[in-house]
Amino acid sequence: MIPSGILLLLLVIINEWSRFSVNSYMFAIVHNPLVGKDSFFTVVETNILPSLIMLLFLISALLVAFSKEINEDEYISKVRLDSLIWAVLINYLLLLISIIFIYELAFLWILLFNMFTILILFIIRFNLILFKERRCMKNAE
Amino acid sequence: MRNNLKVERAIKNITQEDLAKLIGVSRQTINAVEKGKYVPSTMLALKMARVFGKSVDDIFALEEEE
Repeated sequence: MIPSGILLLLLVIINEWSRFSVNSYMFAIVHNPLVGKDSFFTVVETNILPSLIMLLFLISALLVAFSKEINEDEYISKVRLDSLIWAVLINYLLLLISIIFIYELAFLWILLFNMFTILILFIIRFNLILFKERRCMKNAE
Repeated sequence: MRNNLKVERAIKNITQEDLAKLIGVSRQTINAVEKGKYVPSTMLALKMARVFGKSVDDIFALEEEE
């Protein structure tokens, strides 16, 4: 997951990626190019590198987030549920703040990040709680 | 909710790890129940009571305001 996360960051930061573009024919339901006409339900030739990297990142993040622990019992399920709720709420809180304070083009970037931050927040929160529990257990006994 | 889990464990002289293995849950669960951070499900409470040979009421008790 981490390599694809790094790739994702690179994708965002490097604007000039025409050297790395992977052009291929893809079936597009909606195609709104910056220059040119809109088209629907056609096969277009487009750069699919961003799509590939996003797919890779999302699939690996989903696997990391929702794969079962070694000993999956009721307490860990509860922790998982609680961190999922927490992650969704915090994500929407951040979204609300950015709706109020960020406009125009920067807002589009925020929307882009928002796609990934729910999963990322959940992974961080879940593992943080588990880590704290394990450390507390080691200290107590 | 109060529980005497630690006392019962001391009486029987088993560690959290052993209790967890006996019941079939993780050690974190036992630790969380003992600290009062997690209310066990009915199944778990019954299994715990069975391990110590007591009834559930002897191990868990409601607080006054609950």
